[in-house]
Amino acid sequence: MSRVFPAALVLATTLALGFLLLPILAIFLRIPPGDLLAGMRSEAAIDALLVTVKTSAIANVLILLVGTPAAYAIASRRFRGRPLVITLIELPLVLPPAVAGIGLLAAFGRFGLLGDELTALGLSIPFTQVAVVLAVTFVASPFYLRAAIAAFEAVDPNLPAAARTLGASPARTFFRIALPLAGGGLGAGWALAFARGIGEFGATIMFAGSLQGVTQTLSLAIYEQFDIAFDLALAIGAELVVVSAAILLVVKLLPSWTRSTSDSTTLFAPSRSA
Amino acid sequence: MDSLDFRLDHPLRSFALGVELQVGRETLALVGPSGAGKSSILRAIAGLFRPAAGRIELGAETWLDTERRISLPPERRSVGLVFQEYALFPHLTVESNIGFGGRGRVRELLERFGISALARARPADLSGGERQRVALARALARDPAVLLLDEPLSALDAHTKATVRAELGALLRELRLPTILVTHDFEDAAALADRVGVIVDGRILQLGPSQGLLAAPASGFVASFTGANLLPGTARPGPDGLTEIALDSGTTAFSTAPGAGRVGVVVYPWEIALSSTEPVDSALNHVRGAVTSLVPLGNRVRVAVGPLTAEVTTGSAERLGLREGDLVVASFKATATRLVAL
Repeated sequence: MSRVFPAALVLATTLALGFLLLPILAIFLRIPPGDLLAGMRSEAAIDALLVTVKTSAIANVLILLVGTPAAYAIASRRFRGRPLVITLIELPLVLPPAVAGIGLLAAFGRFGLLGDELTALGLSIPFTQVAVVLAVTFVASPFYLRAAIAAFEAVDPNLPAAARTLGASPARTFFRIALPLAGGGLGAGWALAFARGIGEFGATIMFAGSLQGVTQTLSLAIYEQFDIAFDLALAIGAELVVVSAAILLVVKLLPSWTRSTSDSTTLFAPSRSA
Repeated sequence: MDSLDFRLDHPLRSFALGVELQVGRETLALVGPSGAGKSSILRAIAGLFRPAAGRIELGAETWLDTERRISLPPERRSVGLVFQEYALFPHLTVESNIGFGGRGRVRELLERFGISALARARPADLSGGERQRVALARALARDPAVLLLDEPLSALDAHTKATVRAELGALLRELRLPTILVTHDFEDAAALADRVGVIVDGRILQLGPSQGLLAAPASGFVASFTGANLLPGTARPGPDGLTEIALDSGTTAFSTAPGAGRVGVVVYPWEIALSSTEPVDSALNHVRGAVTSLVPLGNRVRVAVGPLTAEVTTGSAERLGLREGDLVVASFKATATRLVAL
């Protein structure tokens, strides 16, 4: 009996690791490496990579530029309805992607809430790269906002207060004190948002479609290719595995990176006031 | 040099803050228990908190006037605020911390505070005393017209505190700025300030030089806060023009101070003598009791005898062979007592 339990533990661990790693390994092992590389160099894969890089880059710049000041404002102010605002920000996190897609269509589609206004401006958003950017921003930004609010809240409120009494304007206080001290948490939140955005599928396919070279991202390309050219789908999948692994590595390395630039802020941990 | 005048009214959780003070070229200490509203006063002066009503003026300059809807932001008020835990910027070096408010005087201040060697260090690497010096240097880098110190000594251990307190006292005498120091320790206040205000529940109970507060505490709270023994009892006229007080503990005390009805007898620990047997001396008041605690304080020992706390020299304590549980007689003269109405 005494040998059964340790053996069961080893078996469970092996099963868990094997089950999680097998599909990932299979992507790389199912076809010869040469075919995999050829697939990666195919037009469909390159188009999908370019669309993904372009839309992700724009979406992430938007998320950082708008999300950072918004998170700072919410974190540093106490106002009525604040918990409600935070809950509303978190709502898209738990929404199924299909709901996000139909919601985006209902808002920005030709017959959507803002449809007439957009048409009057000569704009048609659905099934364009703008739609991909909006879909990615919609599903990914709550990850960043939530982490950024937590990161700014973790900054000792006496530190910005001290900066103000030392003559710093609110803007200088933000750039010299709050931003560097929240940096670790902001970086971690951004990595999460980036990962969520790059894997975006459901909302994009409903709102932007899957047009090669226009709106077809890597995730959409896998879906389109897998019953036409399975090997190509595998190659695109391998690309996404590499990108995702790189992001994970960045997240894992963040805490030590933070420590080297600031003494007291670690990932999501409250900063000590020296 | 301009003086700082202010009046602040603000409802807090369980009481209302209501103070009006004028601070010239002096150090004013606000002492009181934690949560008395002391820090709120400093934050209001610095502009970090806006009171419901009030006025803050530095000479002819108005920083706050709620009636005229004037409220300068913190960066436009010439204050140096030293935070309780110093609030040094953890991601900046000592040099950058000090230079945050003004680059011009960094080198001079590093030298003035003897921290030139630490210029490149970060706050996490500093000792408590060093952090305090950096915080002071940083607050002074902007040449403030008013200095505000929030519990500047509370983050230090007892050993460091004595040295730092002496340094701070010398600095304050040299600067001669309108300075408000907040502390919960009456001894620190007495050592550093020209005037001391005892503040409880947002109100100043008594304001004056520390000697004045010791000599004539306005209330039982001020007396016990300044470190005095406070023995409650009922006073009536006694023999020889003295006041006789029937203490609640059962014994009788005599005082040269006038009083009637419910009073507290105030006597400072250093006015109390200890002996092993009832002494034949000029002291009218003798309280017999067991020693309940002995706390050494440098060259003195603080001895608790029944309801009283006495301070005697270490030598005297050794000569009497004082130990916990020993029965001793505590004596104090009727002339050493004050009476406060309870």
